[in-house]
Parts: sequence; structure tokens; C-alpha cells
Amino acid sequence: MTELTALRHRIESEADAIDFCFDQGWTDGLPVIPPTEGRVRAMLEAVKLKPDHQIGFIPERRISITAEKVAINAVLAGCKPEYMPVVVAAVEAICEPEWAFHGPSTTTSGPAILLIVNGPVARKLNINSKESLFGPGWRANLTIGRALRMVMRNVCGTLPGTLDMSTLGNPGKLSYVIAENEEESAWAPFHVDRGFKAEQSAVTVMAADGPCQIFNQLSDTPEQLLLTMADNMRISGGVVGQTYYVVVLPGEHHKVVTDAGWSKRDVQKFLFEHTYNNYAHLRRTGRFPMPIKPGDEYRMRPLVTSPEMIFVLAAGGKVGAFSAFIPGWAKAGWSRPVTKEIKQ
Amino acid sequence: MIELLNPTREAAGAQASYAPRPQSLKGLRIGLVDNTKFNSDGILKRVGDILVSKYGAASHKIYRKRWPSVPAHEEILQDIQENCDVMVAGVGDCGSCSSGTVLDGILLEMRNIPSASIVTHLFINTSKAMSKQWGDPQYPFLVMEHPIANLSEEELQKRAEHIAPKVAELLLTDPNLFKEARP
Repeated sequence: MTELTALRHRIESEADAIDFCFDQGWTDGLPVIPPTEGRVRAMLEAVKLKPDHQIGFIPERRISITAEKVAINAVLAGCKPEYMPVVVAAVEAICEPEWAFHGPSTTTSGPAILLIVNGPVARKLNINSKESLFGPGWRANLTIGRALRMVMRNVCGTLPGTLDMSTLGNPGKLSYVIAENEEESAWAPFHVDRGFKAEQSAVTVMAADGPCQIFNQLSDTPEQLLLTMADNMRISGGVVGQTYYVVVLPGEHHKVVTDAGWSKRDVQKFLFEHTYNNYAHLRRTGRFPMPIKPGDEYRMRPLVTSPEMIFVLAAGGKVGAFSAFIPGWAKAGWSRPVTKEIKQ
Repeated sequence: MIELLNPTREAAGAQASYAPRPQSLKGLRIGLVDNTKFNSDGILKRVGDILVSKYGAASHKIYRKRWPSVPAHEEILQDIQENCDVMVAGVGDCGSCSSGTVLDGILLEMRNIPSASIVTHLFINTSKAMSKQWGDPQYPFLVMEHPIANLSEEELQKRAEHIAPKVAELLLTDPNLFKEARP
């Protein structure tokens, strides 16, 4: 058996161990599961990885993230061993140069990491895609995202006040994991849009603000319904960063849109076309420097630079006239969403 | 009795190293690494002008990073290594860009270019945390009052005049002596 090399701490009892973890600064503020050798080995066994296997490398800090450290943090977070493949894929994703770890983890603007899980693994692990989509109640949703944050905190030094300078924080920084409701969707799953096969499992990581809810119980056409969405989206997130967006359409709204025969592409195009701002408004409201120049009232700037930057998902409860959009972080080029296959 | 495994990074980062210091700035070419934050270029160019007019530096050239939260990309690092003698980076006035500016200094010191990174005072802890990640928690950087984005032309000039002597001092003094002088 390959040796585990992490430093060991001998503690009197399990109850003391939880307090010990708090005292060491290893937790996000909630109690953790004490990482004993047996629990850590079960995590590694679930992904058949050697402890010293490098899952990712962060060049800006010269940090090598090993399977052993990911396993220890997954135990702390309360994961079941079968969640490990998702945690590993998420860690791989945030180490990709495209995601550019240092910016979204350290910035004052405080994005959380939205994880979107697709494919058979979501059903197998009971990752919630329905009622109370962003709310508590599901171990997989709450602990997989928490494990990722624990890795960032404990291995990468992402601590509030030093290398996490978030001004306001974000409740999603505890955990921000959803699955797509593939079985009730009229559309191809999101990971297929991202180049994977439907029978594969994949996780997408995206630096993102919290979900913003919209309400419309009156409209029975996609146009009118999505005008509500566009109206709320137009001034949102960083506004001028032209970053990525996620749009989540739950049961009722998904039905209005798909009953009319609209594809995801139609939704993206409509939202893209109806979320322009004029430069005069952007200057007047401090998004661009003053003064207003001649013609600015009619010079238009799109919210994103192409319709494909609005990711459309089918997820959320069956009932209720609500949908949500989620603005991504800062500017598109500073951190791009990354999708990784979940290997089982 | 139970035994817990430590979840944190245990291996320290690589020890940062420093470039040897020149005797003076006379005739030296100065690289300015602009992190693209609002007014950073204005402050850096003014600092460059002062280093030329008062300290006898030969010239300054400004390099613009791709975006603030990353270290300067390889082309910039190489160009500075080949065409500059010393470097000034700034101005870090946010979480990811202050630590990014400190990192520019660390990376160029490792390439033998004496460097001075400037951050605003609210990001001292972030900058120290980044230095610690590189195995050098005492890495010396310079501090300017926060904020800088809303300063007038006149105020930018004052900021530059205030920080320029400190920049010159850091570029000419063995950083290890700097560390000893700091609390």
C-alpha cells in the first residue's frame, strides 16, 4: 500500500478532533469530518489514484495539488467516497489555464464557483436538479462544492482577508453545485453543447455571482417571458465586462419556451438581442467614464459578445413562475468556464 | 486516540531569489509593468519620468499585462529581461491584481532584474500572502495610499513624486537589508 505522507496529528477523541480542526483554521466555519487514514484511503480507493498523483498545478503559486490532499479535504467536507470523481474533475478544471485560478479566487469582487454536473453520474449520486435547486437538502450538492472550496482554502491559501479579498463574499462559496434536469428537458444536455456525449458525465466550473431570480406568471409566449429575463439581465453583474451568463429555466418557464418550439439557440439569440445598453446610460451610471459624447444615446453595447456566452439550462422545480440568471465573473477573457469529464 | 491527516499545503514554495543591485540608476533602462488598472499607467509613467530626470536613468518603456489578475505573460518577462535593467510594477489596488503585481516582481527578480512592485495600503496582507506562497513572506514591496482610480492629474503627479525615491531605494538596495529594516 502506498504511504500517505501528510503530517499526522494525534487527538484524544473524535469530538476533540472536530474542535482541533476549527482551531487549526481548516474549516469554512461549519464542523468537519475528522480526516482519519481509513476515511482518506476510502476516498483514494474510489478514484483509484495514488496519493502522490498530481491532480492539478497552479503556476501563479507553484502549488501542486495531490490526490492525497484532495482526498483529505473531501473527507473534511463530508463527501461520500463515490463523490470523489466529481471533486477530482472539479479540481482539474480550476487548475486549467483557461479558468486562471488566481483571479477569480483572490478578487475583491467575490465570485463563487458554480459547478454544473451533467450525465449519468448526476442521477447516480443524487445531485439535485429540481425543487430548491440552489437550496440545501442534498448531501452531494452541499459537500462536493464544499470539498472544492476546502482544497482552495487549505491547499491553495484562499483565505478571507489574504488571498481571498472578496469585499462582500458570497453564500455560494460554501457550495454551489447543481445538476441539469436532463430527464425532463426538451433539449440536449448542457455538456453536449460543451462537446461531450450525452452518456458521458461532466462537470463545468464557472466563476459566478449568485443566482438572480425573475418572476413572470402572466406570459404564455417565449418572447414576452424572455423579455422579463432580458430586462433583469441588462444591468447585472459587472455590466460592461461582457462575461458569461447562465440562464436556468425551471418547469413552467421551460414549458412555455419549448412548447413554442424554441431551441436553446433561439433563447440565446433572443436574450443576446434584447440586452444591449446604450453608452450614455453606461456613462451616466458610472460604468464608463464621463462625459457623455454626441451619439452615445444611440450607440449600443451588447451585454455579451456572442449568444453562445449565455448558457441555457433546464433545471429547478416543476412548479412556480420563476427562472434565474447567473452573471459570470468580471470579463470573459479573465476566467473562462471549463468542462471536464468525470471519470468513473 | 485518533490520528488526523493534515489537509494543508506542507511543502513551502520555492525560495524567491533576488537580482544583484546596481550602484546607481544612471544610464539604466527601466521597464514599467502596467497591470491595466485605472490610473496605473499614469502613475508608472510619471515615476519613470522622475527616474530619468532626477536619477539619470536612460529611458523607460511601459508594458501592458493582458489583464490585472495574472502575472505578466512570458513575452513581457522575456522582453524586459533582454531590454531593461530594472523594473517597476504596479499599481495593485485590488485582491487579485495586488498579489499579481507582487508576483511580477518575484518573477523578474528570479530572472535577475531588480524589481519594485507597488500596491495600495489596503492590500498589504494579500501581497504578503502571495510572497509567502513563494516561500518568501518578507519579500519587500512598496505601498501607496488607497485608492488610485479616482485621482486627478495633479494628485497622480504627487503620488509619483512621493513614491519615486522609495522605488529608487528598493532598486538600489540589497532586498535582504530592506527586510531587516522592516518590522
